[in-house]
Amino acid sequence: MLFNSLDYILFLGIAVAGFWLLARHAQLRIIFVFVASCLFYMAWHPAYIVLILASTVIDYVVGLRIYANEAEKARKRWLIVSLVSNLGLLGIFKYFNFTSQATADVLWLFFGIEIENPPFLDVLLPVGISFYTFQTLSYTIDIYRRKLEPTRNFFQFAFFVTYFPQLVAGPIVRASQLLPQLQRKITLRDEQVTQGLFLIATGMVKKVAIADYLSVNLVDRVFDQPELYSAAEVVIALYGFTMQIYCDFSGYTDVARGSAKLMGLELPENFDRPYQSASPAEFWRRWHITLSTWLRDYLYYPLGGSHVGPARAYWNLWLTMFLIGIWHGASWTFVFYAILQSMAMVIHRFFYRRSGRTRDTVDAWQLRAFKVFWALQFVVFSRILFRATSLQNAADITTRLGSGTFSVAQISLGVWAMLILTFAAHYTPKRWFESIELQFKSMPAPAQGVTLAVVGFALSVVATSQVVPYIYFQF
Amino acid sequence: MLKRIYNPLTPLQHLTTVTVFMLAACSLTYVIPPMEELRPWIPGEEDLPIARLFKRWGEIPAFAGHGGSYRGSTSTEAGAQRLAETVGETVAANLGAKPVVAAPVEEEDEPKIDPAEYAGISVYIEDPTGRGMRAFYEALEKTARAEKAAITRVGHYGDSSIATDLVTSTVRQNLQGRFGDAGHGFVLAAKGYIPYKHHGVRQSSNPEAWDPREVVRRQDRNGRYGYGGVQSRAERGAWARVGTAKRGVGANASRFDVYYEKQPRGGKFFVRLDEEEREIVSTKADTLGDGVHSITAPDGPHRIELRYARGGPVSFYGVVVERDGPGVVYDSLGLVGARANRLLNYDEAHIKSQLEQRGVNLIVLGFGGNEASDDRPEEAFYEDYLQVLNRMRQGREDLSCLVFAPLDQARRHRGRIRTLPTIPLIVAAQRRAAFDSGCAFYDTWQAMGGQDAMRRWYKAQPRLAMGDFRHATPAGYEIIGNMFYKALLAGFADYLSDASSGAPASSTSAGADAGSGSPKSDMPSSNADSSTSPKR
Repeated sequence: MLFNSLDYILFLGIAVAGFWLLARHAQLRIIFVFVASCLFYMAWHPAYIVLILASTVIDYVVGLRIYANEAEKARKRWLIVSLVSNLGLLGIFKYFNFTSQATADVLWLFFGIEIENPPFLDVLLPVGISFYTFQTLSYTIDIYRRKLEPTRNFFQFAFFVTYFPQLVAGPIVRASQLLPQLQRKITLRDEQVTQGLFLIATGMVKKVAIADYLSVNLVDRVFDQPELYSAAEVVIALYGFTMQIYCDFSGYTDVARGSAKLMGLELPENFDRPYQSASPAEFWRRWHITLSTWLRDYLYYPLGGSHVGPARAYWNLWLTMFLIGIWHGASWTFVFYAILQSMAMVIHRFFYRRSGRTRDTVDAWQLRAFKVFWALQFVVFSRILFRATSLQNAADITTRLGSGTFSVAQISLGVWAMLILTFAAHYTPKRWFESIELQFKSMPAPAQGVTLAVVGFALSVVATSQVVPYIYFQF
Repeated sequence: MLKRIYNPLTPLQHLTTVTVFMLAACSLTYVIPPMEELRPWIPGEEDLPIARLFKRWGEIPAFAGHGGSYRGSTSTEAGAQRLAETVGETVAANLGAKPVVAAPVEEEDEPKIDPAEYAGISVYIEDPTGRGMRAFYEALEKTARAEKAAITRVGHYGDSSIATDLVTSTVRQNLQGRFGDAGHGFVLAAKGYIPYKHHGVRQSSNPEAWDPREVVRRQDRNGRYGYGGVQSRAERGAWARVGTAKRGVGANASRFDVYYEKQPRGGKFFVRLDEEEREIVSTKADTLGDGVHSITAPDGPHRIELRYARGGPVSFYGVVVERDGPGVVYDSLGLVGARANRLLNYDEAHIKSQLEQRGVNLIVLGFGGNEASDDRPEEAFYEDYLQVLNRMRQGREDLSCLVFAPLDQARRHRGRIRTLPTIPLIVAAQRRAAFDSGCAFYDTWQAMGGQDAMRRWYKAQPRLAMGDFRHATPAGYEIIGNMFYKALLAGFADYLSDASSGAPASSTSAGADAGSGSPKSDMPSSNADSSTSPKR
C-alpha cells in the first residue's frame, strides 16, 4: 500500500480511529495496530508476511533468552542466532542473485570462465526487508549490550517491528525509541494533531507534486535514453534526480512521522536539509539519519571508531560507509556508488584532520557557501551510479556528459520552474517553513479540514500517474 | 464562530473535526457537477479502495532505479508467466526473443522461411493493394538468394520512438542476422545538439562547430535536409568521425558514402579513411544540388573522418556505412518531436533524388506519437498522411512504403491510465491513407495490445512503458522491434509462397495458421475498415 494513494488515507483513518476507540484497552489496541500493520504489508504481497513474522518471533525469543542468560557465551550464542537469521534473510532475498551474478562476472572477466546461467532465485525482494531487519537487530543487540530490557509482551514487540507507518521505508526506529512509548499511557496532544496532519500533507506534496513530476517529466526519460539528450540536459536531469530522491524519501518519512503522531507516537527525524551540507561527512549526518546512526552505533563504534590507530580508523570509516552504500541495492552500480562514497569520506577525513579543524570550527559564510556548492556537486554527480539501471547505463550517462552539447530545448518550462523553486526552497531558512506550519496550526479545525481537502484536490490534478512507488521501497 | 468551535476541542475532537470537514469537502465533488473530475473515487468504475489492493498483488511497477536487470526478472518461467499475465502472451513472448538464424544459402538455393521464425505474433503487415511491399520483397528475395551484391535497403523515418534506434536496431540486427549484414547504413555526419542515436556505430564530433538544420523545424529555406532530415552545416574547425562497431553485427564496412550539399558558394572539406592520406573535396557547383563522395576499402573495421577545410559553407547530410553484400541495411531516421507533416518541409525534387540516390527498397513512416496531442478530426490526419506518402513515394512503384502506426499513448483520467482518444483516430487515418496511396500498414498500436495497452505495459515487470505514458522503455522497444521483424518475415514468407505458386502478390490469401506454414491475419474487426480489409 503506497502512502500516495486514496487507499492509504482511508486505511490510516480506520487505523487511527480504531486506535483511539480502543484507548481503554491497551493490549487490545496494540493487537489491533499489529493486525492492521500485517494487512498493510500483505496488500503488497501476502506471502512475505511470513518472513517478517518469523523475524519477529525469532527476535522476541532471542531477546528473552539473551536477557535470561548471565553467561557471556550463551548470550553471544543467542545473539548469533539473531544475526544469522536476520542477515541470512537479507542475504538470500536481497543479495543472493547479485552475488551469484557477480561471481559469474568476475570469473569471466578475470579467468575467462563462463557460467551461462548462474544460480538465480525467482523471488521478489520483500518490501522493507532492509528496514525491519535493522530494527529487529537493534533490539537484540541492545539487550545483549544490556542497554535495553526485553519486553515480555509479544504484541508490543510485534507492534514495534511491524508498525505500518515506518514498516517499508523507515525511518529505522530502534526498540529503545518506540517500546518505551508503548509501555506508558499513550496520549494525544493537540500539537501532535496539527503537526501530524501538516507532515502528512507536506509529505504528499513532496512525493506527488515534486518527486513524481520530476521523475516522469525529466529523470526517467533521460536515464532511459541518455543518447537523446545533450550534456546540459543530462546535468539538469541529475539535479532533477537529486531533488526527486530527496522529496521522494523525505516525503515518505514525513507521512510516516505524521501518521505516527496522529496515534500519539513519535518517530525520529530522518533528514535535515541534506543539500545544505558542506562535506560528504555532513551530508551523511543529514541524509537518512537513522541509517547512518544505526551503522555508526552498531558497526563503526564496535569496530573502534576513530579511537584506534589511524589506518584502522580509516578502515572503520571506509567499511561503514561502504556498507551504507551497498545497503541501498544489490548491483554493481551500488557497489561502485558505495566505493565512491566511502572513498570520499576517507579523503575528507584525511584533509579534515590535516587541517587541524574541529567540529567547533566555524567557516566564513563565503567559504561555507563554496563548500556547500562543491559538496552538492559531488552528491549530484555520484547519483549517476545510484539511479543508473546498470553500469552500461551509467557509462552512457557519463559519455553524454562529456559530449560537449549544450542544448536545453527538451527541458520544459514546468521542469525548469520546479527545479528552481525546489532548490531555492531547500536553501531558505528553516523558520520560513516553520512559519507555514504555524499558520496551519493557528487555523480552526474546520478550516484545517477544508485546507487538507483542497491540497488533496490539487494533488489529484497534478498527479502524473496512478501510483508511483517510492524509490526506497526496493531497498 | 469557527474560533469558538476550535477553542474548546480536545485533541481527539480536533482530529475528528478536521476529518469530518475534510470528508465534507470531498463529498462536494459528488454533489457539484463541475467538481466531478476531483472525485477521489468513482463508484462503479473503480474497485473498492483498500479491498482492491488485495486483488492486484504484485502490480506495483518495477522502479528502474533498483538496479535490477529486466533480463533477470524474466529469465525464469515464473517471471515470464507474470509478464504474460499482464501484457498478454504475444507481447511477452517477444521480450528478449532471439531470432532464428537460417543457415547460409548458396546462390542457386530457393529462399525459404520456416514458420517457426515468425511464430509468436498476432499482428501482420496489411497490404491489400499488393503494391505496398512488392518492391521490398523482390529485393529481399535476391538478398535471400545470396545474389552477388544484392543489398536490400530500408529507411525507417519516425518520431522519438524511432530516434532512440531501439526499435530499428532490433529489426536491423534481426534482418542482418537472418539475411546478411550489409553494414550500418545511413548515419548523420554530425548531430550537433540534436538527440540522435545509431547503435553500434562509433560517432564523435565537436558539436559547437556544427549547426544542424532540421526538417522538423523548417530551418532551411530551400527545403534541402538530405535523406536523414538533418542538414549538418560545418563551421570553421568542425570535424566528425564515424566508425564501425567494435564487435558483432556492424563491425565491418567496405564503403563510405559522404552525402553533402553542392552550392555556388560551397567550400571544401577534408575526408580521410583510417590513417590514410586525406582527400580534399569541393562542394562548389553552379547550382544548388546534392553530391556524394565515396571511399571504398577492403571489408573490415574502418573509421572515416570529415573535417571542414576552407572556403564557403559546407553542409553534410550524412554518411553511409555499407558492405558489399548480400545483406540488409536498415537506416534509422528518427526525428525527435516530428509530426508526419513535417516531411512536407522537404523540397519535392530534393527528397526524391535523395531517396533514389540512397537506393532504398522500402520506406517506413513511423509517426503519430506527437500528433496524439493534437485535437484534430480523423480526416485532417488522413489528409496529412496522404500528402506525406505522396511526397515521399512520388509514384515510384520500385519503392515500397509502409506506415508504422504509433505506440499506444495514454493519460491519467479519473485515476486511471487510459488511451488518448486521438490514438484510434490516427491509426484509422494512417491505415486509410496507406491503402489509398498503395502503401502497406503495420498496426503497432494493436500489436502492443490496443486500447489501454500503455497501462498494461507500464504495470508490467519489467516495466515496458515509461511514466509519461508516451514512450516505451528499452525493453518495450525491443518487443516492438521483434514483433515488427517477424511481421516482415511473415509477409515475405507469403510473398515467396505466392511467387512459387505463380499467384500475383496482391491476391494473397489469408492462408492457414502459422503452425501449418502460413500465418493469417487476426486483426480485430473493430479496427478494420470493411472497404479496406487487411490482407497480407
